[in-house]
Amino acid sequence: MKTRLPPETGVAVVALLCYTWLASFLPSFRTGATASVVLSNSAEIAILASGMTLVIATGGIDVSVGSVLGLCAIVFARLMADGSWSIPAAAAACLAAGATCGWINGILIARYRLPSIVATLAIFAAARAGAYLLSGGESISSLPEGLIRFGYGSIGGIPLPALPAIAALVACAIILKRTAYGRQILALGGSREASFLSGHRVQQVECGVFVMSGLLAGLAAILTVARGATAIPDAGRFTEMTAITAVVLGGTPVSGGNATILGTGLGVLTIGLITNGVRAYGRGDIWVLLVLGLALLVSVEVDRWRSRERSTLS
Amino acid sequence: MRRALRDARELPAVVLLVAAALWLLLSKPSFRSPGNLAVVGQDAGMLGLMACGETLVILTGGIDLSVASALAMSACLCGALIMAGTPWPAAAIAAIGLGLLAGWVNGALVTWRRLPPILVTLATLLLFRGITNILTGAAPYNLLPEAYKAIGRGGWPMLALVVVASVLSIGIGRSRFGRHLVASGGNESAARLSGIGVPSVLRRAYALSGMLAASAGLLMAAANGNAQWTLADGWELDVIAAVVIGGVRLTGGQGSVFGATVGALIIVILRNALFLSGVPTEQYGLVTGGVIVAAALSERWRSTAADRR
Amino acid sequence: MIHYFRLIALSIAVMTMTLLIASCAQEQPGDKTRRIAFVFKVDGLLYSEVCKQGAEQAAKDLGIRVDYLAPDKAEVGKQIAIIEQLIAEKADAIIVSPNDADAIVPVIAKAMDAGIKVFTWDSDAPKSQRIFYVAAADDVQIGVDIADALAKQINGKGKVQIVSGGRGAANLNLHVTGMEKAFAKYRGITLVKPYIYNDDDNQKARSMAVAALQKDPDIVGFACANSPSAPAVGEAITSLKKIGKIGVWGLALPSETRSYLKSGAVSGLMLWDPAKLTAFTARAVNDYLDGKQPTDGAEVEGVGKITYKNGVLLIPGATITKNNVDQFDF
Repeated sequence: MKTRLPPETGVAVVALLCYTWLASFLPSFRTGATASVVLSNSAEIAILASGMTLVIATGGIDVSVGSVLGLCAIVFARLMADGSWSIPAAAAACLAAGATCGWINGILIARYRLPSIVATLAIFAAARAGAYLLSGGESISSLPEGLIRFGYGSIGGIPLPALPAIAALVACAIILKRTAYGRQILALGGSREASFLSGHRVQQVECGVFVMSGLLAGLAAILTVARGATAIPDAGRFTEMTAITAVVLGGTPVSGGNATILGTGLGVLTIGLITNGVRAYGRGDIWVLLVLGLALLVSVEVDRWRSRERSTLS
Repeated sequence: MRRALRDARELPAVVLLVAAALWLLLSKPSFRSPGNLAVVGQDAGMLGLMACGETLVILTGGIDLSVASALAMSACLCGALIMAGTPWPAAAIAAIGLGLLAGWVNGALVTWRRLPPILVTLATLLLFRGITNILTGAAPYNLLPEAYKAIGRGGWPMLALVVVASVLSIGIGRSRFGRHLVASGGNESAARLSGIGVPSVLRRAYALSGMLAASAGLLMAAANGNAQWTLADGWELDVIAAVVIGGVRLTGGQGSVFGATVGALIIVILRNALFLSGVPTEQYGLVTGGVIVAAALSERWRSTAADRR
Repeated sequence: MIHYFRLIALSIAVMTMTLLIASCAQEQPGDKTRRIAFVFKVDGLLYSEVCKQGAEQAAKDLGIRVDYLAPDKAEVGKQIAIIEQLIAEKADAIIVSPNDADAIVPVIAKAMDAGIKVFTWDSDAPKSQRIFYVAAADDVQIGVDIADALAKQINGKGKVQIVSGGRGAANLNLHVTGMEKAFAKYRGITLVKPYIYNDDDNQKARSMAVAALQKDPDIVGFACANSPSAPAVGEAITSLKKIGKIGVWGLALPSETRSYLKSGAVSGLMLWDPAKLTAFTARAVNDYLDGKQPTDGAEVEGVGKITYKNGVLLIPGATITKNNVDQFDF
């Protein structure tokens, strides 16, 4: 083994282990139907996790995405149900609401220099309260039929909800690897000082990732609403933890400065496989928590081994 | 003296706490009723104990997200042992031991495997609670002796917090461990170079955090007359909020156990005040969020002011 | 850049190969034990564990595979994901207790379209295509029963505090709706606003109950919609030494509440045996798959007299008080 192993090694090992295990013991995991279920059930987490990867690349964290998702879902549904907005108009407003929440996070963090966990913790509490206020605690149903077709449709075997997820992952990958902005994000995560000295507009860069994270939470909200044709004020609770787990499992270091969207994608898939696998064995989801906790430790352990090998080689 | 006051990181929190408490005592008779003061003291005692442990970890530059899960795990062990016939003090000691062990596991993973604290404790947050659910089968341990239940009642949780916070405050200032703790968080490599055994300091900080969470769990199970795996689900975020409001710097090296205690009191008193004023529960998030931002902004403003001097 | 592509190529190659081998393999039509799957609201609750025992018993009695699945948090989105997986795995029947009656409708339609029979138990989704709903009382009726029992105890007058769990939990909101509806019949009863939402947290439930009695010292009754509340309110009343002065009715398991029922801190519970309910549901669904419809008014051994009207299959519930609590072992 004289090659440098990529940062996705850890998650790729875990994903392949899970997949091989499941595919050899459970016949259903060798069918396209199960593959498409794993894809469509992972869509929301994939969207949240791609935004989270950008945030973590700057060395920050965003624990508010689940609550922002809930708030956006209610905004989206309220506009369609009471304001009788069309689906595209309401969807645009929903994305705008997400971006606004992200912008508030960004201002608090970039401009006023609050630690990201503190600022997003505050928005975590406030956005959920906002969702309860706007909805009165009740779910909003009887939304347009078109939404259901989007939530359950498929094109060429690929479920429709997976498409925006793939788009979000690809867009974030392009931003991160192919644009000047992406290099600035990584530079900021590497060293704020150095980034500032090399003339990057640090505040805008940092604020930008939180706006994107919020925007993507809005996108995930649209998917969540579409799957039930109902908006629930509790939507998205605890998804922030799953999204963070996916990113970390994928090999993006929480200290920032490095990031891999491919890893995040694999992390999301691994979580999807583990979740479906546990259920296929007829176990309740508490077991998912256990297996995920272990998978997290295994993946970080592989990552340690990989980086040690690299450091001895270089 | 003025300089010392101006530099005290806990000042905004203390001012807020004193102002809020005075206003409530004078204007709200329901707040000063003994029953209400007792329940505020109990909630604050339990949250405060966890916040004290969390502060030790955050002072080292780490974070412990697993406190609430360790609390539930230890409380369930205590409940299970009592129901199996163990005398309650022995069960309590075993539970505190389990908390210590849980914290030590976090510390060991952080130091020996050099994993990021936020990751390790995120994993153990899931693991501790998952294991507790599966081993207990979600059963409640609720046939507990009156003698044990008494420790969660009246002013005992608050007294426990005052004792622990005082011991830790004095301990951090006076002991070698305390100085090393603050030094490892301030600048780890400098601490290492000056001969401090940073890994062992870190392990002890996490172990103490687990132990204090377990003590909070003992009190909570006693107060509710019930130990169950769902105990304190989600409280880790309240604990971090308390620490932030108390002026502890999340990147480590600065802050005090006293501040975290004040932070815990502020959260509990604020919620109690909102409740007594008839504010719907679902709006508490707006207020909590606002207070967190205000506290963090004031901390920010003070430290930039300090930099300018 | 090379190593990225190598890794992607490797992963994709392995996955497609496995899939290819799989699609070539013949589906085995032979050994097909019937599989029915329960999808509960959330994993790990004591109530859910007792239901699971009933499901396991039914699997043994009927000689079929009975799965009991539940998401880690009470969220309808995760239930939708579980049902989608069961559709992909071609289960024979799905029995769901939805976290939200409306959001579950489209996925139930999808399952029925795929030829899977869908039922509800414990909580209903009346707007869906589900075949029938099995319960002891629906979510609104439970609220009505609790409120009526409490109103009777306090002679229809005084201040009553309603206590619930999560603000957005649809089934709890239905219990509360039932309570409001029932209390409206009693002129002398005023409801304390706002209602208490304690997030199913034991500690919050207890301290909020204590604080509520300081805010409104003349509260004479608590109506509890979620299961952690009744024992927590009982503990609060015990610690304030107000046993016997305040009525507490709710929805909780006897094993969680026994000592408070005996001391009188909690007046009574409206409940049924979750294990019996679940086992009975499995039997009724199995019969339906065999082509046997439930019969209205039939006497079922170990369950009692059942009623079956308009797709709603009801079994008798129980009022649990200090006099009969020892007969219930769950």
